[in-house]
Amino acid sequence: MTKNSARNWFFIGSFACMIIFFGLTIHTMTTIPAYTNSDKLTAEVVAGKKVWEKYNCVGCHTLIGEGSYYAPELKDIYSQKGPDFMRAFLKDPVKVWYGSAEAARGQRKMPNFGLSDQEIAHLVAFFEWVDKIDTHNWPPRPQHGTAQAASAAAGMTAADPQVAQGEALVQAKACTACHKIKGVGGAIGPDLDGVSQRLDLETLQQRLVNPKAVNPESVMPNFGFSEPEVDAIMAYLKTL
Amino acid sequence: MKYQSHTVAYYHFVAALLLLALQVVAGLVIGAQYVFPDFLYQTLDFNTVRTIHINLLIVWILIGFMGASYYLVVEESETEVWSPMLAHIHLVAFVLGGVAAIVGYLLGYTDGREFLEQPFIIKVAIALVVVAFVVNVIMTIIKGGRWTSVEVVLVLGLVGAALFFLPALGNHVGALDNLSVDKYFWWWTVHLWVEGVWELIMGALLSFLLLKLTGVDREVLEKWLYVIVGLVFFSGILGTGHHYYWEGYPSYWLWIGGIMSAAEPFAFLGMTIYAFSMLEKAGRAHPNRAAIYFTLGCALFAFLGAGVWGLMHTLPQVNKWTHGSQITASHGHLAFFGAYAMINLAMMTYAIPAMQGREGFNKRTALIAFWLMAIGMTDMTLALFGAGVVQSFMERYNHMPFMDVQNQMWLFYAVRLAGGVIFAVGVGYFIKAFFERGVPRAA
Ligand code: HEC
Ligand code: HEC
Ligand code: HEM
Ligand code: HEM
Ligand SMILES: [Fe+2]
Repeated sequence: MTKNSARNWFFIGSFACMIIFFGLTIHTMTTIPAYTNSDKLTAEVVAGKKVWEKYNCVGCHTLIGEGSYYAPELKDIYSQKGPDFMRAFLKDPVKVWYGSAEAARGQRKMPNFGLSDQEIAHLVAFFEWVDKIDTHNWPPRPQHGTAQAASAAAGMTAADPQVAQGEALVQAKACTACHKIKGVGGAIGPDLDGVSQRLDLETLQQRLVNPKAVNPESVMPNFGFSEPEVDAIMAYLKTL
Repeated sequence: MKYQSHTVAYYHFVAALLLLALQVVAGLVIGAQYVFPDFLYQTLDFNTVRTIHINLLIVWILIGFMGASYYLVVEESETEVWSPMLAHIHLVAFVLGGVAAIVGYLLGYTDGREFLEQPFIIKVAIALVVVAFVVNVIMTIIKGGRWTSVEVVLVLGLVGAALFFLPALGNHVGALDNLSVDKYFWWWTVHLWVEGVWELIMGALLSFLLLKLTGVDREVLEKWLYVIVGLVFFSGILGTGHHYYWEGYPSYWLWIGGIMSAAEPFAFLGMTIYAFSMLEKAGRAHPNRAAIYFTLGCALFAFLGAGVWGLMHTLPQVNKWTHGSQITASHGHLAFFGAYAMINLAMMTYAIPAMQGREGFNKRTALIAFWLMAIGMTDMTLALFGAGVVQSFMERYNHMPFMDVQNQMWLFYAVRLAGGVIFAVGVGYFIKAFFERGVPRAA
């Protein structure tokens, strides 16, 4: 091979690859609406992306696997921990994660950016949208979130329909974002195993109806459960 | 100095080196925050310092490329720079722009997209600087009256780098409100720079160094240069697909990205074989030993960092578990250092003494710098690799919560920090070697 033929191969090959690449780019762009639910890309979601950028959140976190490796991946935070957890956490990260500044000493932790309620609402909308991007099931997670995996692991199938309803609610609201159930979950609130023996039923009920009534400082969200729902959750908690 | 306009290259190298020192300081701060999380918490948070770290990296490498390019075209075309004034102006503008960006980050002004955090006006300023520079280089070559192949490849790389910066300017375009679309074109700058056009720049600089250090036949060398840069584009353009696996695009990218990017290491392997075999061919060893060390070190570390460490996680079957983990950081460090930091350091080690009409830097100082940097970076890479394996396995495969895994890994991060300190001392030695023989004077 001479220098000239090497040079010609270089130009022709590069040009061909470029053409193929542009062609695939055009095709990929036509699939974006289906893969990312562009129709659900509301003004709120866009505002959430701007908040994400304004505070340079990507300087600590990854999102769909890109960014920095100092803090957790947030692609599926919405389905993993739910909006209530996020709202409480973003308001005061250290308190929700570690309980107090004391407990957080020497631990890796997120700064408090003093986000406004509106900014938080936008972020939550953004994460809800990101959660639904079809990323070929990345990040790899157990099939249905931690709580279900836990009950599946324990081989639990509730015979009592009320207990089953309570369990479903606990899963839907992702209480395990903050509480451990059967050893799985977060450490923000107390372990819920054996909670019905620890607390009298009235306090337990109060906790679920309005957490702030028991502890005005509580970071546990008020889920606004109806009376039968509270009963169902209590029935489930009694089995733990 | 044979050419007056080598001062242009000299000042670019000085600026690049000082920014490297600042980059390393920022690296040490975030490295320390991994080990002592309370360090500067809520004062100078991780995200801000990390942004400064990677921005300084890009800026010093680009300024280094500019200095190296001016040196190269003056030597290759045997003529003075078209407009030394323009070169000095765009250097000052670039440094001021960089400083303004960093002050902005400290005050909280950021675009919040990794690597492209610069506010819009600063991006525009950078684009203008790059255009001024590219024009100056091309005019110099035209003035010299001949285009060597090394210059052709260099200019293609420089023009390509300018072109692929354009998508970065577009973050006020509505389409990028969609995160997946944003990411798609973000990679056009990030990937097509380091695994495309920058490799052309590196190939050209490496060839120039080999020409100067070995005196081998130009025809042979230039032929292989075209073969290598051909491999770069052949694999690297469609290889962009290795970033398109999990971002909301069709699954054909898993095939295309996986296969084409798996071919990318051949380009780096080619450069390594090229450098080692040319040096072997040269019977007579060039007296500037340190420049030979940095040149071969560049070829070798680029192959390890980009070729081997890249190949390791480029197939979707692996990337599924390692994507966005410490494995990525491990690869990012070794590849950037091996390919782009080392080629700049090699150019400085060759060009500064050549301007001064000396054989080389103080050999002892320069070789200490070489070994400390090589050892420090190897330490950092291996520590992060260990952390990445644990993270991929425990967090991704066993589904343990992120923070639970991180809390068990402080030892890896402590070892990385130690590697960083060794590296920083190496940079100190390099600065000493650079300045200890004084400033080159016009002859
Ligand atoms: C300085 C680094 C840093 C920055 C900047 C940062 N975070 Fe965090 N973030 C963390 C850390 C560390 C955690 C892990 C929990 C903890 O220790 O506080 C975390 C946790 C979270 C969580 C909970 C994740 C989980 O798995 O439970 C969310 C949600 C979150 N961050 C959102 C954000 C948003 C939104 C921003 C930008 C406004 C942001 N973070 C900026 C460091 C950071
Ligand atoms: C954002 C975090 C968070 C979420 C989500 C959360 N909790 Fe809590 N929970 C707490 C905290 C913190 C406490 C400790 C007391 C306090 O601060 O109010 C608590 C206390 C409790 C208690 C009393 C436990 C005791 O031993 O005193 C019960 C019962 C409880 N939560 C049930 C639930 C249930 C059921 C759910 C889901 C529907 C839930 N929590 C969701 C944070 C949370
Ligand atoms: C003193 C030595 C250094 C230390 C302690 C250090 C530390 C760090 C840290 C902690 C990060 C953030 C990683 C994360 O998000 O978790 C980072 C990112 C980065 N650093 Fe360094 N660094 C050093 C030197 C360098 C050098 C010399 C280079 C290049 C030549 C470099 C290139 C990079 C790159 C490219 C990233 C971004 C990585 C990515 O996004 O994957 N660093 N560094
Ligand atoms: C000198 C050349 C190279 C440099 C400077 C480089 C640098 C980087 C950097 C900084 C990142 C992190 C980007 C981010 O912030 O997300 C990255 C990611 C990546 N690189 Fe490279 N790289 C080079 C060559 C290669 C090659 C040749 C391959 C493949 C063979 C490769 C494979 C990858 C892959 C697969 C990722 C994505 C990692 C992930 O999923 O998190 N790289 N590279
Ligand atoms: Fe890449």
